[in-house]
Amino acid sequence: MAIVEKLGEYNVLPLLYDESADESTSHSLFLKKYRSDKKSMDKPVGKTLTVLNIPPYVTEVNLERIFSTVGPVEKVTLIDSYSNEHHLKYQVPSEFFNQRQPFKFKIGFIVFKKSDSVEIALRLESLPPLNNDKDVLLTGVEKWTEEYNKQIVDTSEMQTEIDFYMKHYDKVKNSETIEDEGDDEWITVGKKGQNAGFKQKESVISKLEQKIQNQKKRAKSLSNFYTFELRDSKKQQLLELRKKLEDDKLKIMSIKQKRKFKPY
Amino acid sequence: MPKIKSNAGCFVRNPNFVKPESDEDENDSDSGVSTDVPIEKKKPVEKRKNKVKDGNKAKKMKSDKLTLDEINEIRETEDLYHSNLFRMQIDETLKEVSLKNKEKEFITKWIATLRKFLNKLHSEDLTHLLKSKDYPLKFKPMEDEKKLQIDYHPPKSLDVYGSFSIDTNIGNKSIVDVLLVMPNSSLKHHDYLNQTFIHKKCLYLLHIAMKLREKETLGGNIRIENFKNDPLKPVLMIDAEDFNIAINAVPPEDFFKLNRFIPKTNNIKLKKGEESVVPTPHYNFEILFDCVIEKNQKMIANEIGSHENVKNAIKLLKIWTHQRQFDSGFHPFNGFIITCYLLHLLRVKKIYPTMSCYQIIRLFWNQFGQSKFDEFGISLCSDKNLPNQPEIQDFFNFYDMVLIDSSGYCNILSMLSVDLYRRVRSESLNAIKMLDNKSINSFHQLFMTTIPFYIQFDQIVVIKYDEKSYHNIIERKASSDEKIDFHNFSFPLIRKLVMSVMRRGLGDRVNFLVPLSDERSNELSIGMILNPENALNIVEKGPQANEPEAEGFRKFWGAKAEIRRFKDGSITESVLWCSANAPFGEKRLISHKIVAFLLSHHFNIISNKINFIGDQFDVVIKNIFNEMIETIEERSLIAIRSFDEVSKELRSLNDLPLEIVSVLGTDAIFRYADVTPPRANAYIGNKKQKLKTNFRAQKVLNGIIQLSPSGKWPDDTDAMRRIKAAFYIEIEKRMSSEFPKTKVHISSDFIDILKNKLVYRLKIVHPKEIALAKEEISKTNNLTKLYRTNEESLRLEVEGTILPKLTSSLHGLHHQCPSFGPTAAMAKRWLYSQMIDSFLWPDEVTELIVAYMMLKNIPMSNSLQPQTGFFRFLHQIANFNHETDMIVVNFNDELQDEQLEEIERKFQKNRNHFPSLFIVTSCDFQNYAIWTSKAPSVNILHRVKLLAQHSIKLIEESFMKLNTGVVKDIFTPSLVGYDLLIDLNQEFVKRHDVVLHNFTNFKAIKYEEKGAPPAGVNFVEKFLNEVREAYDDFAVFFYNPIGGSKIAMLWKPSVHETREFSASQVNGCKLVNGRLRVNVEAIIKDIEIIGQGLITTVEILNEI
Repeated sequence: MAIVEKLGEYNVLPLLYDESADESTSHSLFLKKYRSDKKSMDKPVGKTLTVLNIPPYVTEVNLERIFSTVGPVEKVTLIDSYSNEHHLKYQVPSEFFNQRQPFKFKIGFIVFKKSDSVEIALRLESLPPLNNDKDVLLTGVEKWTEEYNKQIVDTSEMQTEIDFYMKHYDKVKNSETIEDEGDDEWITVGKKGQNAGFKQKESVISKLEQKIQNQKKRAKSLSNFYTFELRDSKKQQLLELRKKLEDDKLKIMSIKQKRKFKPY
Repeated sequence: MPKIKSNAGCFVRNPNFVKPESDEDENDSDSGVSTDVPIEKKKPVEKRKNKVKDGNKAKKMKSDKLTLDEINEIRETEDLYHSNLFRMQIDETLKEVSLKNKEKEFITKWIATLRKFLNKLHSEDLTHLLKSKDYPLKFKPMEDEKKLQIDYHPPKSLDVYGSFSIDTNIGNKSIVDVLLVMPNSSLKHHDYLNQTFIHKKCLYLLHIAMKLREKETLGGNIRIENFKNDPLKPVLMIDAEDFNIAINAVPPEDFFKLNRFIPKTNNIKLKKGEESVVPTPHYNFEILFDCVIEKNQKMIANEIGSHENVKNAIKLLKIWTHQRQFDSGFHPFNGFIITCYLLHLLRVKKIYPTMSCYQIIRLFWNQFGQSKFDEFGISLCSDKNLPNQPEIQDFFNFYDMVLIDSSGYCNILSMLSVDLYRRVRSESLNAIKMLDNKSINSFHQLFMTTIPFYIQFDQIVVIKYDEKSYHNIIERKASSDEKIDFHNFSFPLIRKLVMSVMRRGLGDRVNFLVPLSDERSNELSIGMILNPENALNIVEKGPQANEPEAEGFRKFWGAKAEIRRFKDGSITESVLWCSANAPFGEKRLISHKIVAFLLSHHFNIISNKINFIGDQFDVVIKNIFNEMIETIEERSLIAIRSFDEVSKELRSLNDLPLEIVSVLGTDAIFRYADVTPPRANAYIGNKKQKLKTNFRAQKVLNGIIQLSPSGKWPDDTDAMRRIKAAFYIEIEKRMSSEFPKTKVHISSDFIDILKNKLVYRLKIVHPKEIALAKEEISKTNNLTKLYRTNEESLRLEVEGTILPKLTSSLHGLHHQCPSFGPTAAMAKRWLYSQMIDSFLWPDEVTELIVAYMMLKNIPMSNSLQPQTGFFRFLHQIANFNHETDMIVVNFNDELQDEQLEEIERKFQKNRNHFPSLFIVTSCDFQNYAIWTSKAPSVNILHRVKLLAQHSIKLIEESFMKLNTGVVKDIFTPSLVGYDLLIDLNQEFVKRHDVVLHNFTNFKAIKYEEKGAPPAGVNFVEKFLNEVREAYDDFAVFFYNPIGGSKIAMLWKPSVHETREFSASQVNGCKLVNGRLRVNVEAIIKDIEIIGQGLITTVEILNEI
């Protein structure tokens, strides 16, 4: 049995592919208690275990099975990086329209039903292998075959699912709009719901700002009115010319450094 | 020089510019930026003084005061030169090519030593050398030894002449021409007859050579060579340090009477004593040219010698001709002709010595482009009343072109090929066009890029040397006069005869027919530039059968001539070369057929004596079924036509909730650039198999559907997806009722349509999706919705709008330049075969580079032959400077000049913010750099560049005898240097019916008879996608998507390092002594796990 490596608050354990797998060719999982300042129903502090470095082909189901040896598992969430976490949104379970998971190393949050399970998990000296006789981890040709077969859909079933979803969607949407339209005269723009917030493109905003600026300027200035202004603007032109010249010189120098002026 | 120096100040003010690579520059940054530090480290004291001055200047600049000098310089540049950049590039280049003072001194000293040496040599009889085995002239003397008797006497004079003497020499390994004037005492006044002078000159030079070899102090490798590849012009070559010194021996000025050499006189008398009247104009020229060298030299030195700008212009023009190889071969277009023409322009006041050299070269090109030496002729002789002086018209009786020298007797264009002249003329006009084109760095294209033969011509015919057949040609075709004129050296005569037959036979099918250099042998090679409009004509239409010209036509074409009736009712003599529906590949080779026929019909040259270069590389875009010719164009055309039918059907569907506005293709096949266009062999599959199938097809062709606009689309991507799926269902229903012959199957995200045995995969795209993907709540107020471009939105935009637009633009380009598609396909195939697939180097990038070259006519006007296009692509890649240059693909000039300038400025300023290869197109919708933002990486770019350079080298080495072996070499990857090789189960490797299947053997492997795979299935691709997504940080995967049976892998350098533990860096790593290290062993195991069933073995080549 391998010695469990520790690093700070992390416990490092090898994840074997199957019974016969060698530890030297296995990935190491980094386990620690989940900590956060925010309270979250998804990941209750104390009941949640953070697992780092989960290989790309490992699924939620695999992890749930592995950690259920410690104690009953409530839920497993996988994300590919912390920055993408807030992009996760609730997906309606569907036969046909599942979002594709990125095929990358992932971070896992294992939420146990009991709070002592986390402690037990951190005391583990080894993890059960990914594959055993009962559940097989699907990879390679088998997996791709299944994926391909899923593409071939039963039209009527799909239609039913779509109809159901859209009905629900419309209902939610309608309820929002009804709520908002308190008076016929105007539409309140709320902070909730589908149409929350102003929609303004960044470019539109900057254009608006530019416009205001320009208006202010135009009111004030009269260009090239005095002779000295005229002179200045001419000088400015020459300066620009010179600047271009200097830019060109820089370019030449950079080409020259690469010895590009030897024609052959 | 001072101009550059005066700017030392400006470098200081731009510390960013200083590159830390070389130590000089590091010194710069060390010593601080505030003081004035010139770039150059080694500087003489004199420069130091300047430094102080410059420092003052820099201060002045800061105070924003312009000195008068500066203003003048800037204005002058704007007026006199193309641009500042152009001017500076000219200055730099001239500095680079001009001879240094040290070198000039060396030559002067060297000549003095040689002079001394020659003067000391004893007088002796040289005639015995005729029998020496070293005697270089291969032909027998026409006279007996008595007449060839020659004594050595010290030369009358010895001096440099030509470019070196007037300082217009270019290049470092340059030839220094030395003129040795033979002493009167060694010659006799009748030596000009019967090649006697040539032999005497040769004996004289050989004697010197032998004496020099004994001494060995003046230089090595002393040999006698043919000047301008002309055996009648022996010169003595000596290698001295960096120079090749060519000593040419000439008779003293006025030793022979010049009027003995006027074109119509006879100077070769085959029968003794008889006064022959057969003119020998070409022989006369050979001797005459030596007689007038001195005179011409004096004239040039007098009139040009002191004009610095004219001399600079000559240098530039010489570089230009050299880069195009106009100055090599038998009597080429050389610096002497350029100089003489410039002299003429000076005299007729088309140019003035006060002009800048930019203006002079521009005017030279302009004038030369309009010149007509083959019709009007020019004389540089100011004296009109010389004895027996011939008129220009007299010259035209004997020569194709006329440019008379200062003596009034010598036509310096006597031996220049008129075809080469026409080619140079058209390139001159091209040069002007290039100067006027703002969006390319024309300087680089005109002067810095070498344009070798193999990228100049569409096709090249090489006639192998064979004494018997050459003799035959002369016997059969040459007139007896010509035989005398070209006595003992018939190559120019053969060239002339062959060219004239080819010119007549090919007619307007070719724009140019140019004899090429032939350094090694008498091999005659002729380059052809096809005329895209006429080259593919299948019929050669002759005169009407009853007209008198018909006889000549029949004689010329022999048995090939037939009488045909044409649609317009005319009945004429004609020659048919191939059937009207022959594939493009075959039509492109009609010129080959014609040449082969003509050579055998007129000269009895059989086909194994002819090498034809033009279609060797077509093999990579041929398929294995139609054995010979069918290239990808035909299949692409079939696919495009049937797609149009599909599109028409879809658009005619009536009762859809939203109308289908357009159906556009996005696949490479719609740009004619698909390497492996599918055969029409798709069919309906069986759903009951383990791998269920709707359709079976070799390949699915992607496209998009655009619906009429509507405001009712939901604001949510998930809902959107479902609505689109509902549309697919609806389309399927309508299609099956309205067009039952077209089979449709749908999936949740696309719709597959089977039409004419081809499968199209269409997706609905909607601009709202892109907008939704861009949506992002502002972090500042958590309220405003901002629209920011991100990866997902870009992907959608490319798929939905950018790619369809690019596809239609490139489709249009292909119709303009029909070689676009096959060229791009060849280029892609080459990259694939080097295991660089579209992930490492996107297909579109290849297409865009090809499109760039075709739109801009880089390096010259477009070729019709894809092979040449492919060579140009390789050449472009090998020489492209991606650090400083960007590629602009501007269809129909949609991008404005100002826009481009703006981009260019940004690019130059912040080079690092742009991808390693920067491509701007007018299809980007302002998303510049979209095509190369992810790939190719710098490393891949360098690798491809290296591979291109290597391929070019292979082509160059074996060019005149290109064969399939070379093709194979260039299209076979090296598996050396990779860390890991992954062997794939052949069952899953996608089959393509192209030849050169997997490069292990050259035979075609037939497509399995099993039938097509399920539409769109490709497990190897799936595997690659997964491993690349997962391990992109650690490794690069290489694969040839056309039948590759191995995937190669290379670890990235980061896997060798260990690093401090941090939660964000933990992926794929293991702990080693408390630090993180990439878990290489586990990743290799992962690869096996991910590729279960697909991978047979993983071979580790380099242990980490």
